[in-house]
Amino acid sequence: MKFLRIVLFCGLVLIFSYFTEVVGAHGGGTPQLTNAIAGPYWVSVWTQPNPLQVGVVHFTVAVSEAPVSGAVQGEAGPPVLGATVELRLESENSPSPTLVVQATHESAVNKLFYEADLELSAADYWHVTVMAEGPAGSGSADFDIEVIPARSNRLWLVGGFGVILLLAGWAVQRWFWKRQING
Amino acid sequence: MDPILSAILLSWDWRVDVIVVLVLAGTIYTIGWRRLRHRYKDFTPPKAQLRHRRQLATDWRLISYLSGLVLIGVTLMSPLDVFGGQFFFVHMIQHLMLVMVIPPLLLIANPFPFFLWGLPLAIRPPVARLFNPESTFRHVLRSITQPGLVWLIFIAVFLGWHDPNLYNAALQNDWVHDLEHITFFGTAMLFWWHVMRVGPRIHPRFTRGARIAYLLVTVPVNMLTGVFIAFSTEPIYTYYTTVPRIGGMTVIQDQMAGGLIMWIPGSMMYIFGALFIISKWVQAEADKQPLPDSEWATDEAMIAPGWEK
Repeated sequence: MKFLRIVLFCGLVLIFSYFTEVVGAHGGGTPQLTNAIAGPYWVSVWTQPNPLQVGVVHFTVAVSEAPVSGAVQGEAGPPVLGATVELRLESENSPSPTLVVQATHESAVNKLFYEADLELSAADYWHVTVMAEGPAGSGSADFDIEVIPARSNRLWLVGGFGVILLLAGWAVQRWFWKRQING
Repeated sequence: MDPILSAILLSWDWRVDVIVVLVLAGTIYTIGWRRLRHRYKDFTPPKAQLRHRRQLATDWRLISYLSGLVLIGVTLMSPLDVFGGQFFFVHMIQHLMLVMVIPPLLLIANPFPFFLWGLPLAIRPPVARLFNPESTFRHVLRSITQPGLVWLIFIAVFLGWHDPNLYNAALQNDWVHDLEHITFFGTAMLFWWHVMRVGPRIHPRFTRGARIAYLLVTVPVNMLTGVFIAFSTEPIYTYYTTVPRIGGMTVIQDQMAGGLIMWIPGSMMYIFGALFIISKWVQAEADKQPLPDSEWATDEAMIAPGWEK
């Protein structure tokens, strides 16, 4: 019975990990830029997943007005809505062309932010430039990211198969044990 | 309407995984509720039993359960969830809903028998057998959900997720954030399960006094955590220093508001729970038949109560 409990526990952990894994990225993530000055604006950028891997990378951009005098130091002003936000990505070592994508409110869950998904094909250092253009003018800020090779995160699949095998083994053992008692 | 307010109100995160789980739970409960209701529609059992059946599949139970599910949806998909990453106090309201509002609302509907009746006929007997007095599952479940153990796990989960490193990790990774919410909600369901004494009843009877104590010992933990956060002069959860502020609210003001929400409304929910049990207790005593005069109004009893022969 102890064995069955352990197997059931492993199964529950795997089911749980599967359901927590299927959740997609929405806003937030690893901060890459925090209140960086981009012309008349302050820009913050977050990326997902963590660590960044080859495949789809999610960018969340916040564009804020520069703080008014008397505001707490380091804290941005109100968000800027309706700006045009563009992301440019250049790979530092591989010969991939420059990738350009527009981050929009439409693709964002948090409608105060701008979000975009981009397929990165090479494991490399990438230079990212964020350009924001709005009523107060335009500006840009940049940062570097490291993208590692894609990692398979399907542990639950392997584990699930293992749990099924263990359960089958337990059932067979129990069947033999019952047969021995009856016979 | 102010464009910022409009943008906030439009920030909904429609999550398929949450919707599927909620629709499934609502459907199974409603089917079970309808079956139980229909089953005893034309049945005329003895008076006492009839009263019991009627009390089981009532309209208010269905409304309470479905309201609980709707609130889960609102808590996990509305701007309450989306802006929890930008404001600490919004995140605290979300946690308050998951831990103190939704579980009692779901459990007051006594979901276990309705779930059982909502399952297909082929699955129902094996599931019911899991809760037989001799079943291993029942023994295991009973031993790992002892009231004291549940209380400790509930408190450990509550304090653990307020550790700055774990909290920041939850805001940076969606799956950690979901894990936080699942553990909060799961342990809260177990906690309130003991308080509300609903099915499956696999533990020894938890008396009213014990339930009141169970609720009240939780108050200091909640209150002290809230006070510590509210009066902290440095940002505890540094993630919030990296996000743009809206409406001129600073990180410290936001933290103070979050701490106050945890401290006052958070603690009040446990006290309300205890008061509710006390009021039921008093009502039950008031409903009891008075003792006949011959048992207490004798000369001996009046002179020395408790010492009469």
